[in-house]
Amino acid sequence: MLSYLTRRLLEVALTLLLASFVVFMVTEFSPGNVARRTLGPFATQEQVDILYNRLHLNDPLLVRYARWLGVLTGLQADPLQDPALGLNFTDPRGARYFGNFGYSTLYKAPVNDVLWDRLANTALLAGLAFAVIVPLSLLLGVIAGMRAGSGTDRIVSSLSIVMTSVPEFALGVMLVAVFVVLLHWLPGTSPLEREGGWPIAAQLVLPVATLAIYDAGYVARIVRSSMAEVMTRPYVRTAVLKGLPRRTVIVRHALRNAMIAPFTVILLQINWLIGGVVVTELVFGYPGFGRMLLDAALFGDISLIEAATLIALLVATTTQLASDIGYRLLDPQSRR
Amino acid sequence: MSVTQAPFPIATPAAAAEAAERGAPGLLRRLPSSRVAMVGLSLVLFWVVLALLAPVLPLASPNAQDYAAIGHPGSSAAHLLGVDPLGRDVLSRLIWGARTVLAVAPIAVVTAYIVGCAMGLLAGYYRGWVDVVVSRVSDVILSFPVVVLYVILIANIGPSALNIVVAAVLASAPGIARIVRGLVLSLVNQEFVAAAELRRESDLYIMLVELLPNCRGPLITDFCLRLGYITIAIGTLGFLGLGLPPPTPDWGGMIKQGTAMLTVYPHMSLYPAFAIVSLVLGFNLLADGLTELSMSD
Repeated sequence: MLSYLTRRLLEVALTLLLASFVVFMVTEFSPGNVARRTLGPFATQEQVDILYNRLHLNDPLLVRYARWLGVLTGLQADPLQDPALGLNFTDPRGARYFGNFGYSTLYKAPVNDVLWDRLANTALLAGLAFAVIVPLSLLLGVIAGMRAGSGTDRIVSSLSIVMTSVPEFALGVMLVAVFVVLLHWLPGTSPLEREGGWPIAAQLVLPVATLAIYDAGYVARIVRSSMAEVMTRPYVRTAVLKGLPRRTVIVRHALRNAMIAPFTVILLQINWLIGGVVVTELVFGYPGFGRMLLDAALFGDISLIEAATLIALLVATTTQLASDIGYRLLDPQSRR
Repeated sequence: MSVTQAPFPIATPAAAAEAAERGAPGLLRRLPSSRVAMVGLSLVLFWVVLALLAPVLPLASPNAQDYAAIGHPGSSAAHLLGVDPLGRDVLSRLIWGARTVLAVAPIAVVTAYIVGCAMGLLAGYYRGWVDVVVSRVSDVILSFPVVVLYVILIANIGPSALNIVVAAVLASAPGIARIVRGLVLSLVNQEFVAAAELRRESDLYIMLVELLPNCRGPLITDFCLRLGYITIAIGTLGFLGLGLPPPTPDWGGMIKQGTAMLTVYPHMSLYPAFAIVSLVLGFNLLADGLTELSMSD
């Protein structure tokens, strides 16, 4: 197990390193663009050229990537924060520290001042969605998979396939049309401020529902097929034939084995949720990480895009690792 | 490399399996026996037919603005489903938008399949360093949350139909490669592959004629699912403002434009939302029906 852990950790580290290079390549492939985007559309070509030279942007991509890694890990001072440049990019943490993501040109503040509050807001949103997805999908999946082919199964399965066919942006619009426009029950935007008299809890309902419904349908389908498969196993038949009550058969024998496959799938939904929050936060004007990532990408805020993508990657790879480890712990066959 | 024929006629197990399969009705031929699949197929065909007929249907031009209608954008005799915030006919834009998505999505999925199958076949058949490289590249790309990958790619290379296809291929091919690789690994030790190797068939022949056709069962289902995913992805990009450049009618973009008026005239966003849901549902039901059919073998 320990050697497996070490190997997987190294793999994750390598994947992160390679992925961060991909991100760097995508955002900073054209060096002229980097200088132009840093200075904004109103800078003269002369100013852009000066910055281009000062930052040594004509170096090869790999050299620039190594320099970027150096700044991120605190081995090197961020050249953009040099007061001699006159960009006024000041960071109270200094120009050289571990986790220096640089300066956001969109928010005119160090990335670390912008990033973490929004990430906390998104963690709240995604956490609540997750708290809905897990019980809802397990319930739907188990009910349907318990008696595969029955009327209940058909209804629940159809419901979950419809749920997975409604992308977040379409669902958000539909929910707003019903609960905001028609019924006036809930607010249509979620700025997480007490404006307009709506309590924060009410503001969270629709974003959480939007995020949860699509995913819950997907997970429910996985749970259903896993449950249905387990119900056909000989040991379940044995348990039924030896006269155990149906409840005991399902709770004690079937459920535990049916949960192994969905467990990994559920954890991997976190990767999907990160994408979902980009859309959901845009629909509801939620002040979170996803909308910040989108704004940064549309604006061309290089440092913020790189930081946000890296965080998203970190979350995604960690959950992947957790799901692999959990699977090994749960599945008796792979434990040996 | 050319695909060489067997130098002398020989009854390969692959050919025997093929013949057996031909006796039993094939997956696609048995499609009508699955009600789920038929519902899905009719939803998809509904949009395909509308999209094909778009030029001959008596529709307003999707980009023509009816300024008089902006004041009362709801449905009227002139505009059955109303107009959008710019006074353009919603019905016409829906049908022309179906053309957009039904052109871009299949092209993207087919291209992704060509790339993904090539990656998976090479990794599964040659193994060794080819496998390491392909698997590593796939891991890196699959570690990105999909929407994040689309956003940073399109924001940097610019929104256009071609770039959406490029991004979709990049995001989907590794997943396809992973499936194909797994299937190939399970097949590569079987006798029909050994027989083909003994006949000195070229590697290309073995991969394309012996291995790939035997992977098709799971791939057909995956293909339908992926059409749904890509449809969602195209819609998402349009909604995020990274879709096809205006004024191209595009469902995601229509929903986005309608959200400004959502509290007053929800129809502007709701109709395209229902359109995209019905098409995705069609693909998903089709995939579900196909899975059901292949399980009942």
